Amino acid sequence: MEITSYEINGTTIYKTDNELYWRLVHDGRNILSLTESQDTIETIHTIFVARTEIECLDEIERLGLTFLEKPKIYENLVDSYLDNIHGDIDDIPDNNI
Amino acid sequence: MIGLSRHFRDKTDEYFEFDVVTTSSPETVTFGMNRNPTYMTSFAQHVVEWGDGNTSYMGTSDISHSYSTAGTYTIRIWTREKSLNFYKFDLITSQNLPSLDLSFAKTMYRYYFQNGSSITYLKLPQEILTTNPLYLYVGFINFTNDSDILDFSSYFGLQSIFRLFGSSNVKRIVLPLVNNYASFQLTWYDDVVEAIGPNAGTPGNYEVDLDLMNISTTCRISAPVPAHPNNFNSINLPATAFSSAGITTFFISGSNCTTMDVSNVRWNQTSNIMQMYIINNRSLQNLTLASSPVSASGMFRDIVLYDCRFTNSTLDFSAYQLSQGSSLYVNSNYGENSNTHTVIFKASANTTLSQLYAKRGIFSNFNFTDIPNATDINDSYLEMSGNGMTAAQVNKILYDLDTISVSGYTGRQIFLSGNSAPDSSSGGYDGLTAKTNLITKGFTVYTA
Repeated sequence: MEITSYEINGTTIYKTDNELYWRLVHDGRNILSLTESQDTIETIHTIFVARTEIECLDEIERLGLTFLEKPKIYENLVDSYLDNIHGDIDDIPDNNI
Repeated sequence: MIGLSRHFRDKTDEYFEFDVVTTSSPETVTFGMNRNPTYMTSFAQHVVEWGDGNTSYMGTSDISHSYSTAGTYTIRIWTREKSLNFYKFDLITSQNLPSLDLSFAKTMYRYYFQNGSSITYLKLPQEILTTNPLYLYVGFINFTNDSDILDFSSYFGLQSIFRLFGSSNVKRIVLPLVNNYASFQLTWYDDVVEAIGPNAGTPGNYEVDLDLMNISTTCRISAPVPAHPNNFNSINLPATAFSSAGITTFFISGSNCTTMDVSNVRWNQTSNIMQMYIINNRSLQNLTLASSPVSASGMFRDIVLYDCRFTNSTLDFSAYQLSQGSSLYVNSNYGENSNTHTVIFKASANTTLSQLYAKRGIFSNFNFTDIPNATDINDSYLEMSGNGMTAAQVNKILYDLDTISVSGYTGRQIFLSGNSAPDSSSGGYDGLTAKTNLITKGFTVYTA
């Protein structure tokens, strides 16, 4: 895996090739993406690549990166599967007792 | 060993009462009965009077009591609230209570009975004398009522959250024509209910018919296990299902419907956080959306059409104004929307996209230029990978996004892998230049 860079109008752009690797894209504080893919990624942010996910996780820990807040949509989709199967009705307000 | 009598009385001394007969000395009676802690504001709200002068408070574990001498004792259970909350409601072994007769509990507004496998018969009050929202939650109880109908048609004037599931042998649930269902929520879990609604008609249709329901705020019908054979396969959503004020949240999941017409749903006219979820309907092929604007100034924060099987060639949201920071999901899990290639946004300068998910299908055509400020938001996440797009289609998307996008925002990402790589000329667009422009504006771009 090779990460190359080039400049456009003074902006450095980093680019991966399309070899299958784990790729971590981050801005030094937040994680933009962490995937195993053959994508060509181009970004002004930092790209870290590794053979294994654990290496990326180690890098995340080393730099103290945080995942962007989980999209609420995902939570709703998961909830839809779990909704009340086990009798959990937490979403009913309890303000009328 | 046991004799049963039970009733509730109105108002201040509503109670549930039955007799037990002990034959040995001492004898411990244990009830598989405990409270649901979620809706109990203190420990002491369900009081158990054992009939021998002793009193207990129902907790979250099964209750028991030891009688020192044999005899007949009348056990009385009462609540300090207009609420019956039993997480478990089995009277075990010899103290079996097969019937749940709540005929006199008409000032209650919250009924919560779950896990009562020995309860086979439910009798509810003919009317409810409260203006509080009615919460009816009956789960995993195998009713074998005299008829196959649970009839709530006389429960007038209520705002209701309504849940019933896991109850076999109930084929029809008749709902009342109330003034205002502020929040109608029906969860359908492994039930054999075949008709539900004010006009619940012939069993066998697996139909939810909300005609004349007058729902406002929230309409949520959920079958948590997608593709379960007992899930409903027909839903009727005429305008009269909704109040004139309209709803802000619409959620239909897990149905076996092959067609669904949501064009007559009445939406709120001013809210800017409206939500439409049509998800996990794995037989749904043909979705009919509204063709004229559904709200005067209201906007949708989330439109999620997820894990369906659309054969619509176009998903046209031109009647649905997306808000700032909105999310639009139109993808299925693994590309089952095999015929949907076009997404049409309602033209608006007010729309910004926090999330667009249109991946693993054949999506290829988006009118981004009609939402010229779509990417003017941090962390915008535009996921269009895995659609097998041609270079010309990828070029056009990159070109349009470059056209509408400006610098000054962080964390924005465009996912176009799983499609052809962009090039400099296909379709008459220079995708490579557009892509570079987007990256210099701060986007991270993923391509083949």
